[in-house]
Amino acid sequence: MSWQAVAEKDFRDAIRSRLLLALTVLFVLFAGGSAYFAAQIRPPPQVQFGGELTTLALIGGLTGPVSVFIPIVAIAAAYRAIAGERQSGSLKLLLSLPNSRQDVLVGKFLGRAGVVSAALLVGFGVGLFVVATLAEEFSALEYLAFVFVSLLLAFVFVSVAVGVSAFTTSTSRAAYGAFGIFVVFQFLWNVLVAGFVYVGNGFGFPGPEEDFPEWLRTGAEFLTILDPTAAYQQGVSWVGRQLAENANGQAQAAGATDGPFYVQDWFGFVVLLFWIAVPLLIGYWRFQQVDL
Amino acid sequence: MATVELEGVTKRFGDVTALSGIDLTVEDGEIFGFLGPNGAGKSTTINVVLDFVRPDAGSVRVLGRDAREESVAIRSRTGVLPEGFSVYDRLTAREHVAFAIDSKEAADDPDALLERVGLGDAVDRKAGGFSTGMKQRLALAIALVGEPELLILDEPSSGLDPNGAREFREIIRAERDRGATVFFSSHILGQVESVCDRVGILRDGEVVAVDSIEGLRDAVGGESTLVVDTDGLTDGASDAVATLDGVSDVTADGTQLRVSCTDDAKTAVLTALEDEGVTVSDFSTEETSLESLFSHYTGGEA
Repeated sequence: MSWQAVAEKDFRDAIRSRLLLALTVLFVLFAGGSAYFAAQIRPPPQVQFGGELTTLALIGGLTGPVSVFIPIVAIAAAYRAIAGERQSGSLKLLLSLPNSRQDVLVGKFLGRAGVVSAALLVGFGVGLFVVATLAEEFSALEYLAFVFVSLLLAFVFVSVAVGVSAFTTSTSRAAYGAFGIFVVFQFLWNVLVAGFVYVGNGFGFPGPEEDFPEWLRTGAEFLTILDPTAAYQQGVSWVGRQLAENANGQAQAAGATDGPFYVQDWFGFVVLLFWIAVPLLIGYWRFQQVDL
Repeated sequence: MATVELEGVTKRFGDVTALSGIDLTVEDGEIFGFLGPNGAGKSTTINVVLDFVRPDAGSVRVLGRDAREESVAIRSRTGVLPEGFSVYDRLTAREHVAFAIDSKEAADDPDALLERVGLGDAVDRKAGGFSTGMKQRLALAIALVGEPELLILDEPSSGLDPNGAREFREIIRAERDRGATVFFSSHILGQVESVCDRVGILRDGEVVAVDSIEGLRDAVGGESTLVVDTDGLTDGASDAVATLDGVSDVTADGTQLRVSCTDDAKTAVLTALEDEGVTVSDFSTEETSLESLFSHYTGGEA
């Protein structure tokens, strides 16, 4: 069970290096600040047009900034995890003990995920007070569900950063790689989907009169939802819908109940879990075969 | 039974052949010295044994297990002082050793281990501020955790002063006497000679020779060179020295005389020079170079 020893040590290292403290401060400032911003300064549209400032409305206003902030912080916290130890040489000390490379990768992921979780929970805990104070109709359950989905998003990018970190001996390359993947997900994904449609349609976009070929429409929809940022928003919307249904005791029409499974909002969770597993698996595949 | 067994181990890094068919056996309970100049492939060999580096060909068995498939089981019974490691700057010496004890599920007392390697007064200091020698001592303490059956030490005495190197040798002997097998590498002949039972000599990725320490001493014994600086050599001086017992070769270079001789003959050489009326201003002994050792084992090809 030495992945536990590695994870525990990694978590303690983060406390010693004040990484945990720095991340916590960041999360407190972010969660408190953006909750205040969403409530007081620039409320979501439905609130501006006379709606109540409910927790859900507030969460709706938070998902955008959160889906940018969390990946950046998660990557910053985790990109050095393995590459840093390889670069310095302490990995040799770690691996001269009876730890397998799998223990190191899993332990590092859990350690960093733990650090980000702790910081995120404290930060969003402070955000909770801000939301509770400012929302006209407050639901702790809705807020906690939102925090839970946000944690999954954080784990995705910790996994990306640790996976990339297992690929390289240089921390700068680990950083470029992880942030590069983030940029692709956040800013270039729609371009990629458009490129897929363009190529799939025989190197030309369908004209206004033409129909999309069915397979191309399906493929594009599927690709769109594969973006973890989109999946996060789907997840948040699923949580909101479930809570609303429970509250009203009936199914609401608001959820995307029509269409194939992958456009359902619950599928967002499948995508998030997929992106937690895949980078770690690829990182492990590479890490277990390299010479140190 | 053999503790470490390498057969036909080959490793290339790009175009560079680091190891070309290493065959090596370290027997149970011996101190095996792995001698060779920097870049000969000592660390690569050790890294293959530890599964840090995967060989292109050949088989590696350690403690009766496959080095690749059962690396964790091997490392749980092995203590390692790796080459080119670094410590965790923010951890104290005690925290380092405690982590190793946790990882190995051992029951050692960290303070006692640190005391043993001479870090008794630095247990609570952060390792980031340690000198190279102290880091080396810390790594030895970590290697000793859990009374390992096999100790693998890669250039253990680098960064140590002569006193520290002597303390390390004492610990290595004590571990052997406890029943451990010790496999350590060095590029310094004197260190290997003073502690090992057997020695393997590595050069350019090949094992040039494996010999008992007596065999090595024979190889080294006749080759030690006495360098004598004089105020001026007489005509008969070289000849007088050359006829002495134990002297194999004499070369004169200006006022300097280089005498290849056994250790016992050194005094006789100096006396003979004085008898010839030569004033000796200075003399020193040159350690046998690895190159001359290679030439001994390879029949003068070096």
